[in-house]
Amino acid sequence: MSFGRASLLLLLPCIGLLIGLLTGVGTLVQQAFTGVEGSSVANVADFLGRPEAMRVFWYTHRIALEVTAICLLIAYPLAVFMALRPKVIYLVLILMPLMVSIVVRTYGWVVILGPRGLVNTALRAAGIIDRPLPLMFNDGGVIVGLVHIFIPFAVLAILAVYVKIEKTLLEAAMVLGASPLKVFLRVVLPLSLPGVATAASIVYLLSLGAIVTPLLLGGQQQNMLGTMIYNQMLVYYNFPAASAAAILLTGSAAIAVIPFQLVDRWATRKLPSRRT
Amino acid sequence: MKPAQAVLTAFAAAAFAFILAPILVVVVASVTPRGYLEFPPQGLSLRWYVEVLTSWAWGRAFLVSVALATVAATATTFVCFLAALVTTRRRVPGKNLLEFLIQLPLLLPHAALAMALFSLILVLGLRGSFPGLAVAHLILVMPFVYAPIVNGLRQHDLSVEEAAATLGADPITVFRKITLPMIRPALVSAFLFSFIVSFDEVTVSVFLIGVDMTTLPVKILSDIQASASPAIAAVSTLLMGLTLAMVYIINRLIGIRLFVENRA
Repeated sequence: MSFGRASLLLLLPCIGLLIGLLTGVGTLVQQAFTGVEGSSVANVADFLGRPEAMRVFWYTHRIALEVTAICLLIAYPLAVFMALRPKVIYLVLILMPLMVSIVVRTYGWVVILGPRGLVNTALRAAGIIDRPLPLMFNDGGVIVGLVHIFIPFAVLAILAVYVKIEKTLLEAAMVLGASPLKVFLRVVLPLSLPGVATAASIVYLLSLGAIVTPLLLGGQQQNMLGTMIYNQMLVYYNFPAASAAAILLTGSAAIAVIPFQLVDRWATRKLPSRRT
Repeated sequence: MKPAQAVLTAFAAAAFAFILAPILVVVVASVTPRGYLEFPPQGLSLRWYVEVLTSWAWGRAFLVSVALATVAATATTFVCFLAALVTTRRRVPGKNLLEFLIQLPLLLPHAALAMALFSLILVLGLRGSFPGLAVAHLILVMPFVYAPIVNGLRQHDLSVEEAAATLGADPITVFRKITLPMIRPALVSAFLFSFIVSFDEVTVSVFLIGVDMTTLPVKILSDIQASASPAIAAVSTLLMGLTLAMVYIINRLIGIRLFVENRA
């Protein structure tokens, strides 16, 4: 088929949707910077000046960091396992939860951690406790829920880089007398660092923006920015405050992933063999 | 090396158990005969399935979700197919910006994306309506549709089309007989994948629903907040079953490995 100038018209529907997206983002930014009398930074300044809003802000980043760390600790060995034994069934097990709605998976944790849930029923039956443990509506509940939802993303990001590692490099290191531990620490780990950095930024970003999981598994004290935006918007109808929170969330997310991107770039540059 | 591998295998087994636990637990909890949520269930009954399947409120939410996912997946697949045809075959000014914007819904934190789409729907005056939800979902699933179609078009050898044209086929015949059949697996997977994303989406939809226009995941969310009725477990199981059936179809059509390639 010939693709002349007229073919650019085929882009129009797509551009239309993107203009819609930009309109939404633009309106959001405009709302965040509109005060009682015209343009102002009052909404954002108000957010920054309110101690409880800033507490939510830092709490959100702390939870995101903890979720990212735990995700990497679980996902890395799991990706190594899957690379060593490449079976479709393992891939299916990782991908299946990804396809199940976040709300259903979070509900699963309610069934497990709730007062009449799996863990409390088991512990009570065993006679270890006689009153249900508070396993959700706290930090732990939110972290478990978020880690569970984001692990597949982390595993896939690490796995994608891991399977590309040149096996001859490992053999060369072994032949030259390196112990398996040394091969891992000096060869495999540095080579897989870009995958780890990608996994970290994905998980961190996704954790920052979560609404449903903190809403269902967190308590009144565990308000993340996502649930704060949800409440401001859908409970208090405070559009300016919700917009300001969304702007600060996006801005801080962009800044927060910079270190991960730097690690990625540094690791990729330091290892020219990856480029071939 | 042997003990190290045993430790790794044990770790992987525990990790897989952790990943699957909440899913299995929901399925098991759904067969309780009691009026409240308990685990493990004391007895076995399909009572909650009957209740859910005969409920008008659940049925309506289900139909809204199916219609929404169908509209979003069909329209976005079509729109992205047109765009990908152009971007893969000719120089497009501002192509990088275009592709960045298509990816933007994945890059923005979900809560911020929800606010942006909410703002758009307010500007358009479509809050609480089906068209409003549809516009938001169309934009939302674009990144999931565009990438596999571009991949599919890149893999496809243009010389076959040139050969057909040389042999006298007009452009429409070339498109119908060569391009479309070659790209079909990518189109089908893009459609099904975006259908699932739209069907399961809750974070953005919760901002856009109206008084009598709610989607299935949003109804589940609000029901969990209001009560812990076992009906939620039954609905969740049905929803999961449907999603997994679609994943199975994708796997049969194009292989599940495609997901890994797309996300990487």
